[in-house]
Amino acid sequence: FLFPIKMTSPRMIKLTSNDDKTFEVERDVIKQSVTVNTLITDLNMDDEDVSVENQMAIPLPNVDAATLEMVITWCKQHREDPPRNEEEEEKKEKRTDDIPEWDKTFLDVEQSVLFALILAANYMDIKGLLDNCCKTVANMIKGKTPDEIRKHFNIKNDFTPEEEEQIRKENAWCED
Amino acid sequence: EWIHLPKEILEKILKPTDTASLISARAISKDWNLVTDSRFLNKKKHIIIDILRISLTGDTVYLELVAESSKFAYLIPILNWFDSGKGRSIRVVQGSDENINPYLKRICLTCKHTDSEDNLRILSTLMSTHSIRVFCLQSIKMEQKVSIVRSAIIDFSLVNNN
Repeated sequence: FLFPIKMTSPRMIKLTSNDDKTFEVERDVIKQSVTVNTLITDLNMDDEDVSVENQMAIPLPNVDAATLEMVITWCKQHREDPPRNEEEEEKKEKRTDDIPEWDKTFLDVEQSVLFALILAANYMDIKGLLDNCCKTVANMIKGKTPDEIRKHFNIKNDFTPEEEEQIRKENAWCED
Repeated sequence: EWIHLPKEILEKILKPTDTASLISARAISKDWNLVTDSRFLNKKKHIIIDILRISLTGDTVYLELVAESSKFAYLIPILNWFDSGKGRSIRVVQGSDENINPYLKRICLTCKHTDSEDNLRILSTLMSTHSIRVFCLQSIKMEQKVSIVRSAIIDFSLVNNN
């Protein structure tokens, strides 16, 4: 006596980048984005009767295609991660030497790409990705002088000469 | 094109960094400076700084503080306040005293006093400004002129560290 087995394919969600490229991604993968997750719930997009072809794509106006592709890759890699407890995360001592190996390699990219990822992770509210990106930047800052950091990250020095002198003086009280 | 990161991202980047990196970061740009200084002020940290020596020459009081260099970062607001006052200044003491651990930093606060209460007022203001307070302050009389702090361990702690 055989029961028919119903094969269910994973629920897919469509996301559109700011340069009009559409990505189909598993619902289970993109749930790590609080922003997308909220939109899916608010727009009642979990309705299984609506096929992915007829489904509205979620626009992400602050994220370009190349960055969104990276975000999706990261989310796929971390789909099995246990849900984060933000209260616990806040209590934890903050450190920068606990980036997983896969993320270290994944985030070993040009700075412009890394900063685009940071902004995307912030906008899409993907805390794990944002944390690891920020820790990567924090590690890059370590051991560098202010001038080196500015050059490395292309940050404009907007101090007046007087302000700069004042900060140099203050820093002399506490630098090694 | 200059990279400009929003304040909440800067806070996130600087949250796990060590004090030495924060000190460098405060000299990068105005945005970074604001975020790092608020990190120093909001850090729930117990800081102990020793008063190495106090001396009085003429109308000038010298107060020498000693600690690991990074600890002074948490005092930047009060040191800055002290330094900007009339007749007051701060200088970094170059170590020549063999009794002092070379890994410790020494800074000397100098202030003029005109009356017997002046020193104590300045010192107590210094130790209680900008949300940092002193728990342990030992006072003695010095030549019946001024009450002054000596050989005390100052235990700075943030007021908002409830």
